[in-house]
Amino acid sequence: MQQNEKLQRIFRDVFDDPTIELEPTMTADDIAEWDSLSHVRLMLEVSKAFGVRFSASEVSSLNNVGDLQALISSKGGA
Amino acid sequence: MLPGGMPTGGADGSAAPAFQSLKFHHFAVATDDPRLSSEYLVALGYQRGANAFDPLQNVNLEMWHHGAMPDVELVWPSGTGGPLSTMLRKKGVGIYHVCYEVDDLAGTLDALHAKNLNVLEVVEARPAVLFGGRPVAFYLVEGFGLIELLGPA
Repeated sequence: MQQNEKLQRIFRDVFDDPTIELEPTMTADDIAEWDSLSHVRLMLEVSKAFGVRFSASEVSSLNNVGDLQALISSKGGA
Repeated sequence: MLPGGMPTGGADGSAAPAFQSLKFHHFAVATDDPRLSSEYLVALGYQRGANAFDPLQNVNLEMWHHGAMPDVELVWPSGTGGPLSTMLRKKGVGIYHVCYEVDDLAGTLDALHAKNLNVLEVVEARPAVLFGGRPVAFYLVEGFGLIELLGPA
């Protein structure tokens, strides 16, 4: 499964919205349920699915989906 | 394993070596009405302890002690923003985190990962305003919730 496909599945599960179509420019403003609480749940799921670990500063410094995709790739997430 | 595939724990109740220094310290309750929450604690016989404002989390903290029951930390937001306010809005008053004392924050985190537990660092280690500057860090543990690890002085 491609990174974006896997990530999109995680977003759809966490935010319980099967219509989400990820774009690199997408931010929390684009998903109604994406708040500080759901963000840590999202990152926990991403960590598990891609087999990578994140620091708290990485978790809090992401500006959009593109940043998250780049972070996963930089850690060799698969 | 139980029939449902649930782990039963060690036969003698002992922890893995890396967790033997780990001790329960307190549990925290997130509240939007500290007066009401403290009325309950007073009714149970709790005594009010130290309190502090944590500027990094923008929350108020207050410890409560009891001779026969676990310490409780009341946590309430100072403003309207932040994760605590979001949690209160979505879930209401309730247990926010469980805190454990450990000898080594990083070592304990490594031990949790070594057990194949899915753990996310939420707040990096920093001095705790309520515990004399001892290092604390927060982690989200899949299947359990938010935990606080409190290191040595």
